[in-house]
Amino acid sequence: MKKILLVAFALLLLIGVRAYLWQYDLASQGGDFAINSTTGVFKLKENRGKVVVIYFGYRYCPDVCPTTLAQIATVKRKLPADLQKNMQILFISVDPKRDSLPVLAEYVKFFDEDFVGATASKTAIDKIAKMYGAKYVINPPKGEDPKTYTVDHSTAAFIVNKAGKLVDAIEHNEPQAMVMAKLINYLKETL
Amino acid sequence: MKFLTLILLSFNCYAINITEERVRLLPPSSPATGVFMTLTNASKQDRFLIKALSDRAKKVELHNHIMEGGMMKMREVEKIKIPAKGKVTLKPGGLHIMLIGLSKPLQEGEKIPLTLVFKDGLKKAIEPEVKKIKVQH
Repeated sequence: MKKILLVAFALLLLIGVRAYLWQYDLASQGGDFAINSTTGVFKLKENRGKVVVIYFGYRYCPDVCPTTLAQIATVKRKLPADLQKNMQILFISVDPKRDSLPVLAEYVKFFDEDFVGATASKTAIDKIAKMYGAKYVINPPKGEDPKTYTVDHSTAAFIVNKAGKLVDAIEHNEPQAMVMAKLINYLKETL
Repeated sequence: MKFLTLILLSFNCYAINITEERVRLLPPSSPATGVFMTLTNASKQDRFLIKALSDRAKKVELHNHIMEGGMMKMREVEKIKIPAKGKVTLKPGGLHIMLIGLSKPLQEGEKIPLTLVFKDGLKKAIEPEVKKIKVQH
């Protein structure tokens, strides 16, 4: 009996770990989309030949989003110039109510001149988020100010390769060397 | 002598040391930012940070991050424990003090007045500096 329980427990544990690893089911996700951005309409299709890093977040995010954006910006700046130019970072704000494109433009520039910020209607964002397996929840406002609310969101930045395929993700607080190695790997791929 | 004992006693009671205090520099339009630090408690009793106050923000809250269901959730916490003879680190992606509704954009190098309030009534005024995001290696 004890043995069965132990086996059952081990199986459950295995399923749990697997489920965690598969929370971003990359192979079956991703795809082309177009979204209003700080540089006009951003069409993923027009970025073939580039490695596109997509991050879903919000501007009021005080900690997690800026940490990841700053990290990706730092890694980008350390890359050789010929690889840098083939890398595009897209920050999609899931909070269109507070993040207009002009403020997003200023926000992304703080991290890197070449970052593109984007946002759209909730319906449009939901569609893209679903395609990429990104999750977010806008919490109800706290207190009297309707503009103070937090947003729960996935912390992964998604990597789309030069062929437009979602191939990898950068986790929150992933060591810089790993992020660098991943990006170089995809940037050196030839179509 | 009595006086000295009292001083020593109070010194021991309030033996909370703050190091690596900093405020994160964010884009000028950011309405909120995080304050990070390490709090060390040299006393034999657990201490609790229950509140923080600053003139530079409309609201100051104690927050934590929880990873749940594949999402990072930021939640307000009632208090932050600084264990006896131990320490707690407020750091990116974890516990932090959040300044909400900044009175004006942050400047790099600016010192932000912040008063930490502990459960036993102790108040500690600090002036963390606004610093750029330090990227992990």
